[in-house]
Amino acid sequence: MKSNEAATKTPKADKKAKAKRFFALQRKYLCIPYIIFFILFIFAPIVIILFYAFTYEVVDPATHTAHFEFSWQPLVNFFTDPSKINVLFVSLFIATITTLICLIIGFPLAYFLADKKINKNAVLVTLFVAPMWINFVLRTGATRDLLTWFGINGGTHPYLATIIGMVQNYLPFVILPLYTTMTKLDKSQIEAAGDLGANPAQVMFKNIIPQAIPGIVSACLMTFMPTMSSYVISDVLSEGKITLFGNYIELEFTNKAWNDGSFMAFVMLLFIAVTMFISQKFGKDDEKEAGQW
Amino acid sequence: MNKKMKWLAVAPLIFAASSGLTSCSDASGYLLLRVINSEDYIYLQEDESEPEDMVVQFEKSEAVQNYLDELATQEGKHYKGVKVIYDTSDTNETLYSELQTGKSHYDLMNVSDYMAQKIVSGKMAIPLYQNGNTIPKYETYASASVKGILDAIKAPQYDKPDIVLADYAVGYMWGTLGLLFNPDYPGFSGLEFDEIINDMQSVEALWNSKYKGTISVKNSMRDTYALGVLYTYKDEFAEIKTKYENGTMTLQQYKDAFSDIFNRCDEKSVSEVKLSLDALKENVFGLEVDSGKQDIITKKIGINFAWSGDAVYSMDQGEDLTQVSEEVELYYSVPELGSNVWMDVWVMPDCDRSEEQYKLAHMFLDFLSDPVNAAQNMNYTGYTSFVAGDSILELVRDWYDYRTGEIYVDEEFQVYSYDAVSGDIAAIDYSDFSRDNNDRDNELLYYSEEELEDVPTTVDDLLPVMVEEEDEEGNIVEVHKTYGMLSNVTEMVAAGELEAVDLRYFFKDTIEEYDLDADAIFYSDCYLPFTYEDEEGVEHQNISVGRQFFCQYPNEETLNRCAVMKDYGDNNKYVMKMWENFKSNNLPTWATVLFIVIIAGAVALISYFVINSLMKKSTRKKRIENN
Amino acid sequence: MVKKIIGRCYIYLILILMYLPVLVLIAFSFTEATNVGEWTGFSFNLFPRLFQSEEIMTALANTVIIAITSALAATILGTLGAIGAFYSKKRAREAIDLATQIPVVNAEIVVAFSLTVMFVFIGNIINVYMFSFWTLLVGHICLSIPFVYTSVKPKLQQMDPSLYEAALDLGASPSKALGKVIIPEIMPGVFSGFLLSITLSLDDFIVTAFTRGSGLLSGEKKIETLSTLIQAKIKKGPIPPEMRALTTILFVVVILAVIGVSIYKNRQDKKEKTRRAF
Repeated sequence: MKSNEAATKTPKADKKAKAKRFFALQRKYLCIPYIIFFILFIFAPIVIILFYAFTYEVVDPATHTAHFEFSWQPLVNFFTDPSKINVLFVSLFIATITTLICLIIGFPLAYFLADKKINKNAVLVTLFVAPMWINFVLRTGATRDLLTWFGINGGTHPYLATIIGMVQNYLPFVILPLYTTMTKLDKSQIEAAGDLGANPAQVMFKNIIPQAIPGIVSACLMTFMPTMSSYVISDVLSEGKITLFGNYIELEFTNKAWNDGSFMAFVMLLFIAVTMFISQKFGKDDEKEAGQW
Repeated sequence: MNKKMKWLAVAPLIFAASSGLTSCSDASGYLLLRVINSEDYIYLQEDESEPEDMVVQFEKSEAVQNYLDELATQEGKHYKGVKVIYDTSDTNETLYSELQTGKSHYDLMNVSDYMAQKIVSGKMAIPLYQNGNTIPKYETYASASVKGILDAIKAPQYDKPDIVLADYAVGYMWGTLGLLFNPDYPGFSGLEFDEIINDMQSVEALWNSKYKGTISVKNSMRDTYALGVLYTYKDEFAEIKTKYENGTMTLQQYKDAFSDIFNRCDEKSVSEVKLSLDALKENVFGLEVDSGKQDIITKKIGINFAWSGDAVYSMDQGEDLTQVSEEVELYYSVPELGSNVWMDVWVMPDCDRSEEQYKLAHMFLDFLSDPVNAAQNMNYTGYTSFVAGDSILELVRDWYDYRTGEIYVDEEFQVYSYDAVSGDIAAIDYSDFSRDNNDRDNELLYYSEEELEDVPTTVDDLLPVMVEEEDEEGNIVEVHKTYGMLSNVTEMVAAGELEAVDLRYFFKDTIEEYDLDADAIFYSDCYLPFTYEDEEGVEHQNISVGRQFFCQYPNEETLNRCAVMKDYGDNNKYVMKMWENFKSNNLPTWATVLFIVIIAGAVALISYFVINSLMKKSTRKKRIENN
Repeated sequence: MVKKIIGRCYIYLILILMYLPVLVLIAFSFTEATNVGEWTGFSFNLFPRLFQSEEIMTALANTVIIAITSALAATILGTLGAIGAFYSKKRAREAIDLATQIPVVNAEIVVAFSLTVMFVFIGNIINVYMFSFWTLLVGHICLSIPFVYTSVKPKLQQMDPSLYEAALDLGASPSKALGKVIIPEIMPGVFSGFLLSITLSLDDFIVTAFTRGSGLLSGEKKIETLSTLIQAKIKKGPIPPEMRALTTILFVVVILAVIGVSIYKNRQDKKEKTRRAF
């Protein structure tokens, strides 16, 4: 259809349109390396994980060679093994608490930071993100050493130590998206609400929070999944007493239980799918900007 | 264009920097030996004044040079030298999974006994001593006592049930598992020293609520399982021990019976042990990967279930005042009812390797088995070498023998013996170390700190030195002294101040310059004999607690009540499952309650909003309808 | 007014709490004690010790090399991807957008685990030892590539499409128009994507630990980066004293960078204002 349209135009315009079309093709093809990379190193590994998650290694007693057969065994193992279910619950618990604490700390913080009357200095926001440039394992070690000095350690308070470490590490991830939404709050609406006689609590719950929902959702997503799957923080801060999803997958990997490990990774992927769904629904605008810092 | 050129220039650099491990001799013409070992498990140079790293010493060793010269006469085998690619890994399991998945290519791998068994059984290693290759120094100097333990391990392959591990593995270090503890730990206040020592004779202490929150155990499936076995079957261990002591069981029978119980890992036993371990988990401070040896010095914990070598490390560090502000005196006990003896061995994985590399690997093992080098490695790592021999004997003497302190012979501190009759003095050297004690009684010994211009012949030629002594009030004071008297160690043993430690069992058939019966008995205060009463009120003396010396060289009796923990074989899955269960903890009650409250809150909040908005909608609708 | 004071106090309180562990490390970088909390006298010795430590210096250099190479690769691939996707049909673009979201939300452990399993899988098939600098590089690119894409994309959307047309009208060849018009327009996005990639790569532990092989400055040994080195050390005991000195240096660099950025921003703002004034 389009080419017919182009043909009916003057020769010069035709030439230009041809060049344009040709280059339009060219520009489109720029993303081919990107797509190839994705297929090779993002999708192919996931496919292999799926393969392992639904097969089981069978050793032929006669020849002592192993091969894989389709099996629900990893699934059955996951749901019947109390240890895995425990890991799931402990991970969910730690992730929920961490997210909640981060929100409780981060929400007022972002609000104050975004309020021009309180904070005129944009550098402060950068300062909250700056710890991320100091190596994260180093920071985790520092937190552990400090907590040990204070007498809180993995031996005596594994949950407390782990949660402190998690909050410490993931707080910037909460502050950023919240700050971005807070700067875009509709000030006039808030003032209007105040003028119309709403008390501060009402303003907060009926006005500010609903406006900040996209920020809150994306803050939750930025904290929840990484916490659940974190490896170093729980390992270092709980003195090996708390095993999260990440630690368990690693354990399965070193124990060479790849099928079970893959199934756990698959469960993780399901969580991720849910996350993606939620982020598509709620945090649309914010996701981009959270990714932008 | 310019940018492109830059890229072209950078690309080969990166390429060169990332060359893999796959070739047997690299482009620069070196013969490569690829070795992987545990961390801090071989001598490394710490400053310039010390000898070079052990692997560098090997690269430059005469044997290697000779071999290279020999090779150079052959066509196309001219190498510039030997390069040892020395890697370290943290756990046996990592090594195994890398080996299994083809993630590693090594000529020699240092693994624990059970892992060697697993690797050999799984046909992932190749036998040593082929094509006329031998390891003569290992055969000569490796102590028969520990080698005997290694020789007894079998590694059956599915088609060859009679494979012996010793054909595939060469011993490197060995030791025991035991309790490392700090009697002065602040958390133990109110407990007497003797009470603590008594408690530590048994692994039951770790389950004792007295010590709750002061213990750390290894975050390692096998070691913790071994601990569980020792506790769960303590009655059976006690029973066979009594039988052995009564004489109703021979030593061999006792050892076999012990090993049988210790190696239980069938489904039923695993579930029994699991119950014990669950209780243990409530009582411990934490599971540590490798931090226990440090944590006990920093007083984070009071008891650590430790490998003997780590125990030595901690004890040394605890006494090193450059490392700690206050001295920490640690003790180590091998549980009285028995424990684990472990060995770390070298195996040769089955992968591409040239004839030369095969030979070179044997040369490396031979080099490590040289007592001089073994002593250097021991000195650095704190672990106990498989190798005995003269150098090791001297090392043990220097470290632990009480007499060493008195006649330590080095450049600036010379000791002389004095003949009271003639008035002559003569310098004492190392060969005088273990002369008959009775001779010493009448000897005066003179110290001289500074180098004298002339060789001293009489007492008057000697210069006085400062010596620390105790005065009447028990204070340490410094006094000028020109002589002292050598202690009579026999008397001290009788007085209970020293312990005569008989290590003839270890040094047998390996020492050349020394006399086994006279020199392989050491006098030390590093062993802590303990007297206790049994149920019938009979007094027993028992040595199961000590300091560095005991960690490194337990006496024969202690070693007799230790067994190797074999590979679990097919039962591995039960133990592994148990371990995963043990590792993953239930959510504590408070957390469960909190979690439920949070979830309930979230559900309530969401439903409130949903209902609210629905209501609004319906009222709006109504309004619209009404209008 | 009260709100102002409370707000400020709160901000600074949280800021201090967040920096506390790092600040304590910095304070103790001027004493040689093994443990944080023990003060054995003021000394600068940790700094020369840091620079003499071959282990740490190698790890540091490795970390930097990996960060820069992986960030460069991710930036090039990601930018091209974003441009390509932007000029693709709507359906294709949406598909690529969605696909890009997967690694953004994916857990690091899953990325690491799946990549490693795949490398072993392929390695077993073609019977080659796969793990080297390249696998590590791929791992790091996987981490950062979607972020480059997401930071370039909005810049493309903000770009005035007529600019490119104008360039073509003025006789520029399409590739020249791309290089002279599109790339400069989206440069801020590309740059922030690059910085983000570096940050992600510097911080990464899990992917490095799983996908590394031998190479780089570690020579024939396994590549050691700062993260893996520190992790190996803190498994065994407290943070090594030299690392405290390193923290101090990193902190100073970060603070300088923050100050630099804020000065740059202020200038930018002023320029903006003056421009508007004209």
